[in-house]
Amino acid sequence: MNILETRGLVKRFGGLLVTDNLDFSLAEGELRCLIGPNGAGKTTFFNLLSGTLPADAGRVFFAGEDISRLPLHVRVRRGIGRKYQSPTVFEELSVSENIKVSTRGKSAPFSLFLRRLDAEYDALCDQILDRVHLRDKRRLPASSLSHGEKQWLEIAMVLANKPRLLLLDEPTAGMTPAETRETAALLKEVIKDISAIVIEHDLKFVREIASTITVMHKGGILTQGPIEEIARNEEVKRVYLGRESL
Amino acid sequence: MPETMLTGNSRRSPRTTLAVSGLVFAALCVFPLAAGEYQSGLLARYLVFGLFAMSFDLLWGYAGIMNFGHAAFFGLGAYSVGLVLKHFPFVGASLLAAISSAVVPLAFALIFGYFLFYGRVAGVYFAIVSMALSLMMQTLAIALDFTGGLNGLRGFPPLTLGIPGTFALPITGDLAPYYLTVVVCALLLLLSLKIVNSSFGRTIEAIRDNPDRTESLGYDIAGIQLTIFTISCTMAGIAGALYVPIGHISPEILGLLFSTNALVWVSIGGRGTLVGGFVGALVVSYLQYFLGAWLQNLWYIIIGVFFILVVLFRGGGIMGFLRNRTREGVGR
Repeated sequence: MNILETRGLVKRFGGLLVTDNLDFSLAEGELRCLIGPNGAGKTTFFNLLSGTLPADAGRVFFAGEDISRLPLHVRVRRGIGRKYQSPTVFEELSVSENIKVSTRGKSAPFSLFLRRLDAEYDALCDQILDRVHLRDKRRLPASSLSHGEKQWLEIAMVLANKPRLLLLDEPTAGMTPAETRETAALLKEVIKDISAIVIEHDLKFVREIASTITVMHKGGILTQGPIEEIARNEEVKRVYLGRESL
Repeated sequence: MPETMLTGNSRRSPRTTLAVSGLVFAALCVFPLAAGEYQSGLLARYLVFGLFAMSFDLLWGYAGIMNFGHAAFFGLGAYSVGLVLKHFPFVGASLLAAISSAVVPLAFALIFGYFLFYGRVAGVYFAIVSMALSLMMQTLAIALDFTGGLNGLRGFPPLTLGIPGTFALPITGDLAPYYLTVVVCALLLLLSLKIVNSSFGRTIEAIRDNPDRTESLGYDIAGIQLTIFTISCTMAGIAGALYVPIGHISPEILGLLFSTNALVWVSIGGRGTLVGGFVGALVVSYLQYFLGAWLQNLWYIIIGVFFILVVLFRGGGIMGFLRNRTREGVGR
């Protein structure tokens, strides 16, 4: 079954067509990488999937249901988690409080007044921080973390919501090569049981984590397929890869 | 460092806080014995201002929502009490008046807030729309007959506490309103501290700092903002009800200037501290009381300069200043 499907998705910014009749599908449990030149419409596509932007036309189906008209927070509650391009953790909160805030997103406003629930969330919080190797730093303010650690914390925050589909926008942006390798290992580990789409420019990273690649160009899908096939594709080389080889 | 210190606002070591609040409460209880009735009535009035400022701080300091229509809710609470007492002159009307002073602002805040928050009106636009609300309410209160026009509402029986038929305590004079005000202020301050220290409090601060991020964690941010808005406006309404026995119900208490006062009191007392609302209201009001006679014409200039100085040099206001001092004091 497909966890995600879009049909005829269209988005215009004024006269500019940024998403052009996009049909996309992702199987349950699949990990897909999205590549493409700047301005290809990758982040806009994510915005349409997560509900940050409304689509001008077309439909989005998640786990078989039409979610095209649902607001962002409802889509999150259905199971679409998103990590933004630049880390947006709550700098003034401690690392563990960042996670705690993330675990309670699905609560109704009034249930947030009850503190008793916190104990159960504490355990979950430690478990998640273990997975991203930040448990030792859980009491520090998030602002004291390095750039790479903030990226991991944000991944942990999204995971705390137990998403079924993870949208990751350049998870290794601004990381050192060592951090990038660690992040790849970390992602492979944490997204074992869920589906994910990853926008990424670092092709070594792509090769390390994904088997199937979708190439976007001018708001549409140029081609998609296994990584070896994409690497040989002449058109992909022309619009995107250029001198760099996969 | 204890974890709670990191999140900042109104959290100190619990024992110090408890000791200080106990002392302040005891001092407030014996104040009438030392200072007499007139001074108690005056202090009651300033405490009501403090409660109003605290409710403003709950919204502005924690949730980052600037409500220039806050006085409209204070006024709604006061006018509800006055109108119920005037038009329902039967035994037990006080109970109805007390309930309506909370329920009317609450219902109004829910409806007004629903359209604004779910309509994604935020930031400066929210401030402007709420300002319009204040002006509208004030104009209505002046134009309508049953609200008493420019003169305000007069000629209603006093609020009476008690159980009809068994005992009755009319809230008149200076002492009864004073003690009622002290008790209600203490209860609402405790409730507000509970709120800001709960998961809910963490969430409203998260929304203030980064609404998009918070929404993408699944929070219904409009619903949460509406909740804190309604709580805060209801508290403003209760402050308005407390004002009835000691003040005068007139269109001024619905107006923009009164909301601006809350902004000044909170800034001077310390934004995001709750207690700062009381401190700011008391300091400014007493300054005005003692200096006002000589400097009547200069008063707004003095308060303006004071406000600018606090904002420029002490972002945390008086409470922030005191807090830094105690921290330095313990060699932190």
